[in-house]
Amino acid sequence: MKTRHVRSLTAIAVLSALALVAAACGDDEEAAPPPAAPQPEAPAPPPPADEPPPPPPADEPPPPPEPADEMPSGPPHTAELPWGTFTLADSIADKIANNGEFNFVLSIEGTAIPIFGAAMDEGWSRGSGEISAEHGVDISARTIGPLQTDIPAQVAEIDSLIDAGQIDCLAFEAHEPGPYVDIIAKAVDAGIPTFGVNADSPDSKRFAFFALDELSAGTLAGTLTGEWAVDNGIALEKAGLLTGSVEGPWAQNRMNGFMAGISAVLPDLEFVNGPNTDIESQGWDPPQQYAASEAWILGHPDVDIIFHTDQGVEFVAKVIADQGLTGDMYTSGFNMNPAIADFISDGVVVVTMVQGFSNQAYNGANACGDFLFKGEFETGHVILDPLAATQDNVDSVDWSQPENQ
Amino acid sequence: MNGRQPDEGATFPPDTGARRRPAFAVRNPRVIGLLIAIFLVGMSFSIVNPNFLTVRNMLGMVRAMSSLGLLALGLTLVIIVGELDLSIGAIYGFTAMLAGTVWIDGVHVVPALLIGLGAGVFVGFLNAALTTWAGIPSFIVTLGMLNAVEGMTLLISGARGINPKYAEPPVPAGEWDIFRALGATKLPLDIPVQVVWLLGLAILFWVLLHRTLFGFRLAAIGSNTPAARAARLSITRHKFIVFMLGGAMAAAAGMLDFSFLGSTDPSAGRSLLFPVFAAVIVGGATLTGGRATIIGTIVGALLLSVLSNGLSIIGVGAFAKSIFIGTATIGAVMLDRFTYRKRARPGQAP
Repeated sequence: MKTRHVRSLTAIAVLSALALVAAACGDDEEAAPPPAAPQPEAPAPPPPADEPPPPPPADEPPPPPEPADEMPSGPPHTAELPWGTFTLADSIADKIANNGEFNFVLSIEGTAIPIFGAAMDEGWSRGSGEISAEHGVDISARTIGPLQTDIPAQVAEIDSLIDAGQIDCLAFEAHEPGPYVDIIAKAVDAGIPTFGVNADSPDSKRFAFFALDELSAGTLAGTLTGEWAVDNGIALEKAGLLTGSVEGPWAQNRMNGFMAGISAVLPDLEFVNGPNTDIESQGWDPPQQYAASEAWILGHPDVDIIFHTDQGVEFVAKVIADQGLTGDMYTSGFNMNPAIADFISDGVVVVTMVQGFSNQAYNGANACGDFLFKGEFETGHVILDPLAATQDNVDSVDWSQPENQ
Repeated sequence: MNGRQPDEGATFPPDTGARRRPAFAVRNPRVIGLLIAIFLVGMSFSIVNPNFLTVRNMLGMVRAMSSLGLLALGLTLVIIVGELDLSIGAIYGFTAMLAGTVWIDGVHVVPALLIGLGAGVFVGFLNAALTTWAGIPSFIVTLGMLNAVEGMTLLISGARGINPKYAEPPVPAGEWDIFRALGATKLPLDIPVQVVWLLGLAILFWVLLHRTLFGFRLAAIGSNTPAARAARLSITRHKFIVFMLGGAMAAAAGMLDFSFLGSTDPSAGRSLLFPVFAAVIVGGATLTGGRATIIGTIVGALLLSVLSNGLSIIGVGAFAKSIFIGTATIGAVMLDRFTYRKRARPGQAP
């Protein structure tokens, strides 16, 4: 009885497996690109597949080639890049020719990172939506990535989607340059146009990289902070650095830039730590950021100005306010939200550099559209200017909107 | 012996005065050792940076410790029955986000916070149900729940942080004041109200674990489950209670931190899992169950907070902080095993 039961289950399992295989095969057939549809400008539609083509009249020009042999219409599907020639995947070219649905994928290091994740997603969706409307195509825009920084998980997810044929244009944000080189090579070699946004992997085969120049932005933050101190007669003697991610090249560049910028204005300013010395990595968990900032500030009461490389500037400012240090200690940083805007108005935050996360992702989506539907593309680092938010301009923008962040 | 069990909540063991209890230091060598370690570590930090030993920093440190302590109290009960709860950090973030979201959507702040608290209890209920009724190891259940709850947090938040003060439309000012009073009030002498929450709940949990039959039964279940079953203790019911209490404490910690900061985001609580487990383990709990104390957990949390705060103050850098806290946790467990063997004698539990 028991054996028969087991056999029955085995039979059901085998049948189920066969059904799945059959279904999968069926899907493959359905998913296979249909013959190229006639283009509006084509002189005549191709004959139905089940009818032999009529013989051409002797005085007429030769008929157009069979649909199967026809190159998909549309913009050029190759691109000459510094590393060689890129050739668009046939499946994507067919979608262009047949007005298929495109998968625009943005991969970022952490979809749940405050400000960053939501703003990048907003920009990617907005850009893809505009491309869709402009060219009359269906675009499925997705922002993918682990919840928090996890490079292997991020790379593995891209890899899976490439293997599954689920990416028609890729934009990526590289937490560190090296680990992305191979996966971007795989994407590009598979014929997927690929662009970098926000943080780069410059040795990869990506087309172009859309972001601000971190070093320049950090320098500008430092310069503006120094000039503000001079203009307001505030003596800044000691400075400190804090960051959410000490290992990120972007953070290192911002810190180095800030030090250079403010030191140019205030050459006697002393830094109690440096980008690689005595600096802790706070992460992006708000209570932990606050606690770490509080401890650091209380341990360094003689510091006058603190530069935070990211949105942690909010919690540095909150600690300064909570500890009654407003007017004695100041902070500058990167990124923006309504709370940071209030701290700027209150004079706790001197300047914060609004990176325009949304704008970076938006540019990535536009780059996808420009290449796929116009054949146009840029290469190298396309520098996007940050906005320096200070007391002079902080009230001019609604900072609660992700597109402004 | 008439076979009757004392009522739940009865004092246990009864203090008959027939024999004198050993001194606290003899009964709690681990706690004394931890207090000495805290003193030595604190002195070291204050030598390197005199700003460590200031009233202001001490108050900030214990405030920052409060959420860690609340989570650790709940986990202590779960661990003492021989189970694990890896989802507490996720519950911490989820319940704060849920409460904030429904509040911003128009629900009054008090029911919104109760919804958050209830959600924490409900996740604890699910953990218990899957562990006891389905028989799935709590490690697997709560590991899965961690991910599921994090996903729920992202779902309801749209991967965005919230700050009710800047919501559109903004929350009523009166409700904002109530909300902030819960976690951001400073009492006389600048004592943060979060510290009072921690002390109050720690006393409650101490009574529950060490002075009631319920607590005695938890230890009995964790130290020898077959014997507890033979004694007809309701193991399932007790596990349900501790998982739900763990969820409630995680929710309370999350919402108090939300109240203190005035904002929360989907990543809140992600970095808490290791320090919470470390606090409970450093405090003397064994992961196999049956042994844990509330005072040990609180002192363990205090040691970790001192380490974290002091290392931030002296600015040793990102790498040293992780190394120190990880090493301290392992070292505490090694020391515990060593002293446990020394104290244990054949046929007699230490």
